[in-house]
Amino acid sequence: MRLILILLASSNKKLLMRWEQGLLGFSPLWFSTSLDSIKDKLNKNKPEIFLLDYELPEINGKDGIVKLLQLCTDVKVVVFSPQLQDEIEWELFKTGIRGCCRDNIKPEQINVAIKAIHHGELWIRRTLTSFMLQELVLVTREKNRIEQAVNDLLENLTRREYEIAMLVGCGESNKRIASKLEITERTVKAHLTEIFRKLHISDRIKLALMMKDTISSLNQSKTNNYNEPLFISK
Amino acid sequence: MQKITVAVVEANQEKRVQLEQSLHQDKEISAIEVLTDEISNKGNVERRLKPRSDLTFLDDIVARIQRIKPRILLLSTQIQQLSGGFCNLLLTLRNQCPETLVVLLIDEEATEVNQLLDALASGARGFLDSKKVNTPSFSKMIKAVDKGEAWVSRKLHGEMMNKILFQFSMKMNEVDFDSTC
Repeated sequence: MRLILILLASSNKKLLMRWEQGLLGFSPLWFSTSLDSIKDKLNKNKPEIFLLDYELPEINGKDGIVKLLQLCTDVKVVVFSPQLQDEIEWELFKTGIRGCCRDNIKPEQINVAIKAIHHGELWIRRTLTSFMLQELVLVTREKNRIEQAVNDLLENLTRREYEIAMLVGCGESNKRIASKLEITERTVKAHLTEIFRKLHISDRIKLALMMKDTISSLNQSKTNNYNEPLFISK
Repeated sequence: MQKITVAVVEANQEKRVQLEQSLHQDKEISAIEVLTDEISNKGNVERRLKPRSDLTFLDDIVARIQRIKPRILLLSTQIQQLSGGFCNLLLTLRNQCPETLVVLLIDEEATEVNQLLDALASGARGFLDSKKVNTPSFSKMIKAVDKGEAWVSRKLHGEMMNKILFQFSMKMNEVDFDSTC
């Protein structure tokens, strides 16, 4: 018996039976036939995997799925739907679902899909992978643009201001920053005022978010040696 | 039926010939044509294969690809001459040879997930373990990539999606730099 917490949600009894058949050997299984019941079980039972009938009344497509995902962020949602347009199906994946299957999928295939999804894989049609590639290129380009914009702004900071901004990015308080740099808290505050002015931001939360990416980029560049070929055989 | 044209970039001549031979021998892939500099101009093979001193290794590869215009490029990652790493080459190929789809021949065991994600973000369309080029999945891969699909494992699809969703969540929190710059 595999101990994976699974919630099945559909008002279609035949569909529920097929899912149950495919999930033979998985336990425990919970069933929901209405939106209220789904919300309740997501909150209380915190399932690991959630099989959702796209045609369940009240779900309301993508928007409804987004709301459900907000209730239980760790759950891996698998949507069962009739044939959808590629664009619509891809939009569902962008909400964070981990799989999309046709509602007439065979029980044995359900079993394979759920095992794969439980292991962190994505259950997606090959034809949709071109959307994923395109999106990956776009988000990376956008990330690089933002990093460049941040770097341009950071160049305006003095060395001391940069040091303080990095410490804010690491989540340090003014008191700890003052102690680390052996200056007064008042001086830290004065530097922060100047940093906010130069970076055109209003508070330390925005500064911390801004620096978080810079810090992770720096950490990454420490681990990667960009002067070497990217792929090195053992 | 139009043939799918394939070219190979492999610094090791022996491996390259072996790879091209396995492409030719595969009966499943009769719809595939292997392009090389030798085929494109037999009379000037020596001159064409000789690296030009005025070009960097990267520029040389790009110039050759622009000349033979393959639909799919199998690019070995064991090439040591690329000083800036493979992402630079992939980005250049994406800009200068947008019709060519690049599949990287990798050593699966020695390659980290982040390196694969960086390569995909730079324009790679998939990966093939260089030890598995003789398997039936080779021809299947070429046909799938030709159709625009990515040739990556389900596990890597999961990682790609994680990266995309992470960037979406960062965007939700980001400062509006356009209004501040």
